[in-house]
Amino acid sequence: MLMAECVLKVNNLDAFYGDFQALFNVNIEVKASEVVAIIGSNGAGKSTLLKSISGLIKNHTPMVEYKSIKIGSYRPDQVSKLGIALVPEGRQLFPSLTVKENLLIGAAANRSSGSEWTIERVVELFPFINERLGSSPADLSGGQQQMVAIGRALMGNPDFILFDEISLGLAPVIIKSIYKALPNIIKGGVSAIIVEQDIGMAKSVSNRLYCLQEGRVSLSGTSSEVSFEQIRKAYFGV
Amino acid sequence: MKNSGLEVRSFSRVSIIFLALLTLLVFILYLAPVWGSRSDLRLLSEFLLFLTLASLWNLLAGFAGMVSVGQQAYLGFGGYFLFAAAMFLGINPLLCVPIAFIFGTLISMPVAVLIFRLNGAYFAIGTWVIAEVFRLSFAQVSSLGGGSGSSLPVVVVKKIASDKTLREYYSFWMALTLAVLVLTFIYFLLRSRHGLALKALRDSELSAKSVGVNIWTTKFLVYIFTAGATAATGALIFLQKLRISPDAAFSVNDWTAFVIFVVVIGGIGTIEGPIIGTIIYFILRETLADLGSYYLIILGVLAIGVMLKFPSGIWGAIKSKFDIELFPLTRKVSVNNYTVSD
Amino acid sequence: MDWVNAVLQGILLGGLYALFAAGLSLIFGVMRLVNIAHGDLIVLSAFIGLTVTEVLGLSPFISLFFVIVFMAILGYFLQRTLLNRTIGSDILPPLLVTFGLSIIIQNVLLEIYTADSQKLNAGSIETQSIQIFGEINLGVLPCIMFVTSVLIIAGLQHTFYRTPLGRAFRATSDNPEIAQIMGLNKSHVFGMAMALSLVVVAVAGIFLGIRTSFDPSIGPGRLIFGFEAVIIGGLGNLWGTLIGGILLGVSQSIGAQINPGWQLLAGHIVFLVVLAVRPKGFFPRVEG
Repeated sequence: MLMAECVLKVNNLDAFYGDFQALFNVNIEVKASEVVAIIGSNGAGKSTLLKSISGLIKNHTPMVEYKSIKIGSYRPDQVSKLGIALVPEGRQLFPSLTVKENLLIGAAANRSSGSEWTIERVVELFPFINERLGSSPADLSGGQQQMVAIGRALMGNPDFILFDEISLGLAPVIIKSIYKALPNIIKGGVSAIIVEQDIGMAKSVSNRLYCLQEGRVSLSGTSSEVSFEQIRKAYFGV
Repeated sequence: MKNSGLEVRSFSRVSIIFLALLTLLVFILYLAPVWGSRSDLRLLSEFLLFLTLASLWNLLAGFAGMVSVGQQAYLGFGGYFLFAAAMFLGINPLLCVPIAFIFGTLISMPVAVLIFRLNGAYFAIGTWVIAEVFRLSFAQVSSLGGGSGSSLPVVVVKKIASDKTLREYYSFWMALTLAVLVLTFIYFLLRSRHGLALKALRDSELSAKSVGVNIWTTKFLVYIFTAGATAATGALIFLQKLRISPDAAFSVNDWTAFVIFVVVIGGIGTIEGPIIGTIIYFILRETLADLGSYYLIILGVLAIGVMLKFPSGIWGAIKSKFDIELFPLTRKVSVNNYTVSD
Repeated sequence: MDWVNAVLQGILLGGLYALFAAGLSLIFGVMRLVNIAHGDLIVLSAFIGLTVTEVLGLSPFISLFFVIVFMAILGYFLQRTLLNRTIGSDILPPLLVTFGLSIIIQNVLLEIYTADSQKLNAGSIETQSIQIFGEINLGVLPCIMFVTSVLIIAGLQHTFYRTPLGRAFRATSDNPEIAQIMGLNKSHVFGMAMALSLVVVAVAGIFLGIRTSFDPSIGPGRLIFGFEAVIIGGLGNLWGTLIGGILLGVSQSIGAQINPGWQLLAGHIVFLVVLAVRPKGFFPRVEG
C-alpha cells in the first residue's frame, strides 16, 4: 500500500454533535479508483463519518485530508468544489425543484473534471428519468428518487463520491439494479465510500471495508478476505 | 422530600436572602413620601411604571414566546379609558386604574382571537397593525380631542385629592402597588404548573402539545392578562401626565422600543432581566438624555449586539457564570447533597 | 364616476403596495426571515434618492440607478454581516435584531435629515394625465408606476423559476444543508436574496418619494401595507401579493372617498376581515 496512492485520509477523527461524541479516533484511507464500504449497526457513526468528510460537520483541519489538502474545517460548498460529492441519507431531493432542476443544481459548483457528466449521460444511466424531467420529486418512487439523487451528485463531476445508505427503504430488486449501475457510475478513476446496512452487498461491491462500532473502527480489511464471522464480532463489539 | 438522599429544592440561600431584602425594600418604598422629595417620588414612579411595562412585555415575549411590538395599543387604550371614564362618567381617576385593567383585558380578547391566526414575525407585525387601528380610531373621537388630544380638567384631577402633594402620594403608592402586584403575579405564575407549561411551550410547541399543554388557551390567558395590566399601567401613566393625544398614547418609540431594548439587554426570559434593564435605562438616561434620538440609536445598537453575542442578556450571562437565581424559578435536585439544576 | 375613479386610483396605488410586499415576500420565501426594518429601508431609499438628486442634479428616475446599486450592495453586506447570524430555529433574534435596525434607521435619518417632510421632484410628468372613457383622468405617473410594478413582479417570478440563481434560492430555501453539498454557499445565496430584495425596495422607495411626501417616521406604515398585501394575497405567491396590494389600495381609496380621515382605517379593517375569514389569504402557496 503506497501512501502516494491515497486519495482520502481520515486522521484520528473525533466528531461531535454538540456535546455528544459520535466518533473516536477514527482512521480511514481510500485509494484512487477504490470502493470502500463502511458497515456497522445504527448509531455506530457511519453517517457522522460521511458528514465529517463532506463538511456538514466541522472538525479540526488536519482530521480529513483529500489529495493532500487538509479539509477538516472546510465548509460543505468548499468541499464540494474540490470534487467530493455526497448522495445523502434519505435521498433529500429538493421538493421545490423539478427532477431536471434537481439534476441541474447538482452542477452548481461549476466543476469540470476528466469525465463531464450531463443530463443526457445521467439519462443513459437511468433511462426512466427522460420521461420524468418535468416531474416533482414527490411523484417518484423511492428507487427512482434514489437514482435521481445519484444523478444529482454526478452532475457535479466528482472525483470522489460518498453514498449514504442508498438502499434504505428500497425493495431488493431495486437495490440490485442500482448497484449494478455502480461500475458505470465510478468509472474513470473515481473513488467511493459506500455506507451500507446489507453486509453481503457491502462485501460484494467494495474492494475494502471498515466496520464501525459505537464510534470506533472495529475491523478493517480486504472485502473478499474478511469473513462473516469476523464481521459479526466487529459489528456487535464482541 | 428526603428520600434516599434525594431532595428537590428551589430556594437557594442567595435567593432567600434576596427575597427578604426585597420585602424590606418594598416596605421602605411605601414610606417614601416620608423620606423622599417630590422629585424623588416622581422618578420612583416613572421607574416603577417602566419596570412594570418591561416585566409584562418580558412575560409575553420571553416566557410565552409571543413577540409583540404593539403593546402600546393597550397602554394608550388604558390612558384614553381613564380620561373618558373620569371626564364623562365622573369616576374617581384612581379607581379608573383597576377598571382599566378589566376593560383592557376585555378588549384584548377579540384581538387575540384574530391575531393568533398569525405566527412569529407576522404575529408581531399584526400587533403593530392593531396598535395602528387603535390610534387611528381614537384620533377620530372628537370628544376626546381627536388628533390633538385633550387635557384632564382640573375638577376631575381634584377628585383624586384636593391637595396636590397628597395627589402625588396617591399616584406614587398606586404605581408601587401596581408594580408589586404585577411582579408578584408574574413570579407566582411562573412558579406554578402554568409556568411550567409556558416554559415547555417556549422550548417546543410540538412537544408541549404532546404532553397535554393546551397551547392556545395558555397563550390566550397570558396575552389578555398582559393587555389588561398594560392598560392599567397606561391609565396611571397618563393620569400623571394629565394630558393625552393619539401620537403620545400609541407611540412605538416611547413605549415599545425602549422597553424591548432594555429587556433584551437586561436578559429576556428571566424575571431579573427587566429589573436590570430598567436600571440601565434610567442610568443611561441621566447621562445621554440630551442626545435625543442618539439615545435610542445607542440602545438599539447595544440591544442588537447583546442579542447576537449574549442572547440571554446581562442577567443570563451572570446567571450562567455564577449559577445563581434571585427569584427562584428552577427546581434543583440534590442527591446526597450534590446539587444539579434543571 | 367618482367611485369608478376611486377604484382605478386604488388599483394604481395597489401596484406600489405590491412592490412594498414583493421584497418582503421574497426574503420570507428564501430564508423564512421577516425584516421588520423593511419599511424603513424603503424610506432610506427615498432619502438616498433625495441626496443623489440634490448633489448630482439628476432627475429621480436617473438617480434610481444609483440608489439601486447602493441598496443592493447594502443588502448583501447587511445580510452577510448581521442578518445571517440571526437565522436559525429561535424566533427571537431575527425579530429583535430587525426591530432594532428599524428604530436605528429611523433615528439616524431623523438626525441627518430632520423630521421635515420631503419630496422627490419628477418634473412636469407628475401633473400629466391621460383620459379614458371620456370622463376619467388617470395620472401618467401612477400608470407608469403600476406597469413597472407588474414588470418587476414578473421579473422576480422569472428569476425564481427560470434562472440558476432562482434555482439556488429555491434549493437553499428547501434544504440549506444539502444545498451546500451542491456547491452553494448558503451565506452568499442569502446575501444575494437580500440584495435582490433591496433592489425592489430601492424602486419602491423612489416611487414612494415621487408620489407622496415622506419623512423618517413613515417606514413602519409602509411595512404594514406590504405585510397586509402579503397576508391578503396569500403567503408565498408573488402574483397573489399583487392582487393583495390592489385590494388594499382599492379599500383605502374607497375609504378615503367616504371620508378622507378613514383611508388608512379602511385598509386595516379589510385586512382584519380577511384575517378573520380567510387567514391563509386568497392565493396561498406556502405555510407561514
